[in-house]
Amino acid sequence: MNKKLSFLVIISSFIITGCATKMPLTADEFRHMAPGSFSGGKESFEVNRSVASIGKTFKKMANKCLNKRVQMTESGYMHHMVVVTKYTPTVRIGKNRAELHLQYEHEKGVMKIHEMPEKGYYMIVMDVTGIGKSKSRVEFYRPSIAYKNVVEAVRGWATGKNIGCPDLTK
Amino acid sequence: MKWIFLSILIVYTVHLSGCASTKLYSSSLQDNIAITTRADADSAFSSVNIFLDIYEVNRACATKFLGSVKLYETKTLVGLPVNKNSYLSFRFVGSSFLGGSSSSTSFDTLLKPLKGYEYEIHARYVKGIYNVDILERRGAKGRKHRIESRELNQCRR
Repeated sequence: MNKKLSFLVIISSFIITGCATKMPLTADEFRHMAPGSFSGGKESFEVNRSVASIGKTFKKMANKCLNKRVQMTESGYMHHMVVVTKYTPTVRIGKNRAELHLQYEHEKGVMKIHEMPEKGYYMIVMDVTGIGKSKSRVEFYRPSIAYKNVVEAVRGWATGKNIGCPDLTK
Repeated sequence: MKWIFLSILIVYTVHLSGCASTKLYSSSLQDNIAITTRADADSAFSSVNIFLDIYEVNRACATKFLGSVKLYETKTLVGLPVNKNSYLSFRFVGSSFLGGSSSSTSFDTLLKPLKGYEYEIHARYVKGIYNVDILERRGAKGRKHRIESRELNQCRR
């Protein structure tokens, strides 16, 4: 599992930037870079929920599920590996708009090779805009290869279906 | 040769029983919590087990570990003290048969069972997404309603 994690970190570091030397340092840069990258993508959809309701779910679930420090270990023949990762969510609620950002920082076990934003590299940015009394449009910038359960869970927070916490060790 | 074999057997037995001595939760209290689970790993080469760690909580919100319960799909009954906070930690422990790796994530909440109330808890882990629903009802025929999870620092409320 950690081999997978390390592989993905290295690959995504190179690929999400298009082998450039820079990772997105702001949510805006992530919005621009993720859709065109090999390991990132963007999806847009509409949901029959108000921005206020989705923002409320973001606030409740982000702190409960994403504000975590995760340790993973793997032992085998002649190797023992420990990776500690801190995940930090940010929820912004504005007039007719809600945002959810998820950033991660490997505190142990993975070498930093790119400049990192204050709360860690961006993994997810979800923008929600109200387009009716109880209808919203969602722009979801997210990984396309790894972290499928995180993507699925956060999508569920927007749609209101299958609400749960993603296992950040996966 | 016989002594070597016996020594190995004793060390192995001690290792299995002693070193893996997770304290099991037991109480003489009346069962007031019924827990069911669903655990589906995301591949045929891995598994997920669900455990419940139970802590006593004092007035200063400090916890004391009381013991663990391994949970199954079938109903597990647990007795918790009424009108008193307990801290429950549902641990979802995944392990891989091939890579020798393991991981664990948890859902933690305070629960203060009320006298005369019954509680149903559904802990679910499906394809890397987990959730714990707590339902409360008065008596055996009362209407069930969902109660929100509470953080440890809310123990004085």
